[in-house]
Amino acid sequence: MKKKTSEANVKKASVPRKKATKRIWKTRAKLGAFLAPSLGGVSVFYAVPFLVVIFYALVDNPISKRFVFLENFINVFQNQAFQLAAWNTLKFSLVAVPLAVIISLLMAFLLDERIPFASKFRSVYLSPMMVPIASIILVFQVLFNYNGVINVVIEWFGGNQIDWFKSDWAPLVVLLLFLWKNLGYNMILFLAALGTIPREAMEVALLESNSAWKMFWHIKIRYLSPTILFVTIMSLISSFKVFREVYLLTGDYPYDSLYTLQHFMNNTFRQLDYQKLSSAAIIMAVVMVIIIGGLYIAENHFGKDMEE
Amino acid sequence: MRKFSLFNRRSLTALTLSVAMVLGLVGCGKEDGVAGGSGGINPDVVYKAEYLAVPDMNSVVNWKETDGTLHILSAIYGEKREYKLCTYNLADGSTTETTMEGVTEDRYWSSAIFNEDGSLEVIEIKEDYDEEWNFISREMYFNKYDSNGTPVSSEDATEKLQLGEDAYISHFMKDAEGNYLIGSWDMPLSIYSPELEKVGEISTGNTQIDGLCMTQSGKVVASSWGMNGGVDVAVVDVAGKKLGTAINTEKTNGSAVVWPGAGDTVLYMNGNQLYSCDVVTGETAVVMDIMDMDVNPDIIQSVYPLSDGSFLMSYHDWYSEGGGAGMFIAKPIDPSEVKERIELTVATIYASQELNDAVIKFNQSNEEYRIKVVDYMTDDWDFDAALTNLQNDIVAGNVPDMIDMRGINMPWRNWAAKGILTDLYPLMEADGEYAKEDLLENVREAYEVDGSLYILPSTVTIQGLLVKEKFVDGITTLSPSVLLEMEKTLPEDTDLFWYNYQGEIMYSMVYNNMDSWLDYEKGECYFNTDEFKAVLAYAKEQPAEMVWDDSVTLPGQLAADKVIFYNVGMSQVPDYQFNKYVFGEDITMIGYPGKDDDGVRLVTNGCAMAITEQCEHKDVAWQLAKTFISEEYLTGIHAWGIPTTQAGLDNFIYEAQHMEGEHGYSWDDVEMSITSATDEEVEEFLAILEKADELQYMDTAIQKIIEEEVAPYFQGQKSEEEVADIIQSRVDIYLKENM
Repeated sequence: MKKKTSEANVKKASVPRKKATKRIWKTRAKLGAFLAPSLGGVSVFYAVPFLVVIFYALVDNPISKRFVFLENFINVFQNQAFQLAAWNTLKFSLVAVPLAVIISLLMAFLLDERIPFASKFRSVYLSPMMVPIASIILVFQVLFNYNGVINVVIEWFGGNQIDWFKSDWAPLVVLLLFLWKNLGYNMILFLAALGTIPREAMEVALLESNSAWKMFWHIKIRYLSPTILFVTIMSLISSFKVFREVYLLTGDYPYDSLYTLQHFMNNTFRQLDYQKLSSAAIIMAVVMVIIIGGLYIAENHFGKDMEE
Repeated sequence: MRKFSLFNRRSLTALTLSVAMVLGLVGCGKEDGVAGGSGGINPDVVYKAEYLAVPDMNSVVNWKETDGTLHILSAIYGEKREYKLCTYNLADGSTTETTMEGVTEDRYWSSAIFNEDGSLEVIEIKEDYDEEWNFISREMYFNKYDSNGTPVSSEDATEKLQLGEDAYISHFMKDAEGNYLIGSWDMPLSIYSPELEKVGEISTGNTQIDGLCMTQSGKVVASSWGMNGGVDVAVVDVAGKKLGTAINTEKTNGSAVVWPGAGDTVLYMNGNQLYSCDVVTGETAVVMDIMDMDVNPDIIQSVYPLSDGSFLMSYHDWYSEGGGAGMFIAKPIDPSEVKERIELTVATIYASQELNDAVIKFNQSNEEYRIKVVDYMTDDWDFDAALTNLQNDIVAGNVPDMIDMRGINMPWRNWAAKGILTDLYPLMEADGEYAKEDLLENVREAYEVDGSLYILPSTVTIQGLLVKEKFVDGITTLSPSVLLEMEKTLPEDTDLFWYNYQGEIMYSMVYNNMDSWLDYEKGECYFNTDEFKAVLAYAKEQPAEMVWDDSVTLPGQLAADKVIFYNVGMSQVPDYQFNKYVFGEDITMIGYPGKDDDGVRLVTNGCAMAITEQCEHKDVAWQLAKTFISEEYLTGIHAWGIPTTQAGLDNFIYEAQHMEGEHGYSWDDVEMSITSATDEEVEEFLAILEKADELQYMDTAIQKIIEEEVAPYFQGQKSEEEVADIIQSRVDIYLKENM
């Protein structure tokens, strides 16, 4: 009898659970239906092409599609143009990204203090973002062309003309262009983040006679760590996108100090060398994942108590 | 928790937004234009050519269709000149032929027009010459004939027409009001009343009218080559005596003549397609692709629309043996009536006459397969853009079955390396009609890649530098250092090349001489060498542009040893005969360093077919490809250049040695009558041909880099060292990228 009762109780208890499960699946189905267009778009324009790129990197050519495993990757690694491009890209990113983060952070700190004309300075620093690329190129050509303004000034002072785009000075010009274009945006992000630091924490630190450096390092930087991560990643991406300006200034085959991975990939694409292009793209993607993964780990370590 | 309902405000808003987002994608992929619009041909309309058994049309003066009857006026040139008036009933095919009366030997018919009732109006010209054929006078007569060819009237219209003695009438028409418009390319368009009284002229300014016609709606339209390329059409305001605003059509080749179309439209051929242009709205539309009817577009002479949607077309087939002239109706038919055949595509950058002709012959004789020509040439003749479009299609997977690789810079080696092209030797072997040994040995050496043949050239040209033998004793190729050494020994008034300016020096010593400066296999270049700097310095000393001296000619300079080398391509034995005559001494052809020391190059001249790996019917594609090395093709009207087969070459030499009569060659002040080549001349020509076992190729990417960098150097802004280093750096990257 007891057993029957307990069985009856179990049966009674399972009916509401089934209803709950059914409701959950129904909700999930509806959510899925709303998400489907976005998921479809991401699949078609990101996921599927990425899989196609991996496929191309593993075959000998897109017509016969013979599987060659890692042969294309080995060829790319051994290609001297790729080696030069990778080294130039790495060098530029290692210099440009930290500079973009540090300088924009310092500018944000400065503007966060109540200096005169702060809002006007903000507008000035943001204005490069509004300028079309063609205008930027024109300006830099006027300035840095062999017969441009900078060389004219140098000659006034008795110096020799410098071929800014076709010498070892070329990366400096590109660095200046990159910083000029991106500092304003980074600075705005930092300014917004600075505004979220709780004043109470700063006041308590001040009351406890902490030095400005300690307050800066242990409070401000800690609170800014998610933003620093974000700005670093955005700057890293922007450092790759500088190819557009370099291409417009110097063409398909620039001076060797300006030759980057994007040049390599752009040129191999035009020559229909899909295997080299795909292999290089995957190598670059893997490196980016490693770098960004490392940044996330660093941010987790330094910023973990902020989240807690 | 609130129960989910589809009908609450938030759900409805979300649903509406989602639908709106999706609807935005609906427009994607839609083709531009409507059916028959300028974006493309209406796929639901298929035309079929029905040939008419019209009488001889070899010298048609004019023709017109009225109420289902075709009226044709032809000139017959036999023992005496005759004119025939023919009619052809479109319904039952019945014909009549009438020899026109009253035609005398001292007169000829300049122009003629048919009226709606089939009657004829003719401008007849009588010219008088003295015994030594000096022109004395000209009279113009205006004659009328009825629809049976019976003379109705004739009047001396010399004074009425007021056209000059040397006027050549090319435009003669009647508008809807009965006014006559008479003119030519080089004189204003004159307007005459129905009584032939001159009422005025239409000033055309700098525009030279090439064509004049009247649309079916009665608008008179003049056509001419536009200032910006393409043919312009403009409505003629006869009453106002002026031309309307010009409309630019898409026509960019052939003549500027257009034909009357239905309504307010005119018709014209552009490439392989028939277009219409509405002269009121300016809209153009593709009507049909002539090749789809298995008719060669190059033979179409004129087109006329019939009321049932068909088009009457006259043609003159210059290419087929016994082709001749005739007419056919392009009749729209139900697409289901067309027998389905497996379609193969052949891609080309500019569809040549020989390719069209070969494809049509294939289509006419094959029940199971059909070949379609896909022409990538752009309207503004941009070869690079056309090549890019072709490459984009290949990359996108839309690979044609065959590609015509004629031209110097088709990247067939690159495509072969990517596996896009198939080796033709196995197809040749399987077919059995030809063997690889049938091709000339030097041709095989030039075109083979690792023992495979990826394109089948039909004819070639030999490219190199002609020079008197005495100047190159012991020299086989012209490396830059050899050229610079030779230059030092020349007298002041003597130049190495005719065009001795900076750009030409760069071509001769660098761009055409690439193998001296780089090694593709090793991926190395040598632009930072003293030799290259010496070339730059030598080029800088020359004028920036060609300095013309009208008192001297190149033939004279070559003969007098004032110019040493002549860069030329030779496609025929007479080319060699004439050049030897110009030089006046024994000559040889020499070239630039390459894989070996012969220097002379081959240039692909005629069709050079390649078959792609994606082609599913390679054996069928081979049937088209091999026609271009057949005896029929190589001895036919299309073949120009040196045949690439031994049998073709034997015939080529035979023709050169058994020429009929004399053929005049002239160049500036040098004239020569070429006759059959002697054995010695043939031997010399063949000796040059044997040297040519490499293909002419100019790496335009490297050329572009060098041109960019030397420009400031020539302007004195940079030193040789700077320029050489930069070129070395940039080209080095290019070579290593391609390793």
